[in-house]
Formats: sequence, C-alpha cells, structure tokens
Amino acid sequence: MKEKIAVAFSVVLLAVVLLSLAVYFLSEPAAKVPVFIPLVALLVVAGAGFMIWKRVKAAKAGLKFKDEMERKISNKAGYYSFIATIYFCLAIAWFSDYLPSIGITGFEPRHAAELVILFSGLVFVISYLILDRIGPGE
Amino acid sequence: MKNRIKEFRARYNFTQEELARKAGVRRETIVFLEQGKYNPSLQLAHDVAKALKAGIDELFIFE
Repeated sequence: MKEKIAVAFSVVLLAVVLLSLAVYFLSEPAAKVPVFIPLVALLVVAGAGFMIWKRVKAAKAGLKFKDEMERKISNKAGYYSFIATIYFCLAIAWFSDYLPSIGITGFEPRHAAELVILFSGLVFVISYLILDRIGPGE
Repeated sequence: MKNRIKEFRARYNFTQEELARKAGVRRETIVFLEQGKYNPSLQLAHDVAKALKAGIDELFIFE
C-alpha cells in the first residue's frame, strides 16, 4: 500500500512538473527563452518519466521498486549530479560572455539559474539510468 | 564476491522475479547479485538466503 502511494505521488508530481513547465513556456515570449532550456527540461522530464514508468511496472508486478541497491544508485547519481553542477556553474560563469559569439543571444542571469537547476536534474537522471543498467559498483 | 544464487534459484525453479518478490527486492538487484556485480549487505544476503532456504555461507563464497 505504502509503495502504491509513493508511485501515485511520483505520477502526480510528474504531472505537476509538466504543467508548470507548460505554464512557464506559454507565459514566456518564445523568443526570450534560449532554445536549449526547453530542450533540457524535456530531456529531464522524459528521463524522470521513464524512471516513474519503471516503478509503476514494478509496483504492478507486486515487486519492490526501492531497495538497498536502488538507494545506493540514487546516492551515487546524486553525488555525480552535485559534482557536475559545481563544474557547470563554473563553466557558465566563465563562458557566459562568449555565448553571443556562438549565436546564443538574450541569455540572462535567470536563464543561467534555470539551466543550472535543469542540468543538475539531467545529470541525476542520466547517471541514475546508467547506474541502474550497469550496477552501482562498489 | 562469487555466489550460487543462480544454482539455488534453479533448484527451486524460481524466476528472478519470483526470487525478488520473496526476498523483497527489485528484480535488477537479483540480476546484479547473480552476475556478481553487486556485493549485498548482510541484511540483503540474509533475505536472499532465507528466500532460497539456504545459509549465507552456502550461498555466498567469501574469498
């Protein structure tokens, strides 16, 4: 029962994220949002959607979707995400001045903040999915 | 760490999914345990051994 509630909560959370992303992108003039922000957001949502779909599948089969190995994978993915985000923040600070020269214009500081949050989520999702496939290691 | 999970699972004719259900873990965990890619905690080793009606020292080969 507890597991089913957790899965239902994940599905609701994903729906809320999708809704808030839709509201954000619809309320923002399209030209003002750098094209890669919605792209990264979609990748994060797709990855999270896949993770939730796997959980739903496991719950339907009467299996657990959280155990000690899954916790290890989550912790490791979180660690990778944390480290990658630190480097990403540094990279944004260093390269933001050069963005117009590679054709990315209208990049505001708040876009950097949005991108850092999304990048963190993206690294977490990708690391999680890879570790789930190859194992958490030692 | 080597183990004999696959051998014991075959003895009882369990699928990986059935063993996962009995041990209260994800199917992926059983897959990685069988492949020797994941070293379980004492609690997990106990749960898997119990599900396979074996002792921990029978199931896991400590080298």
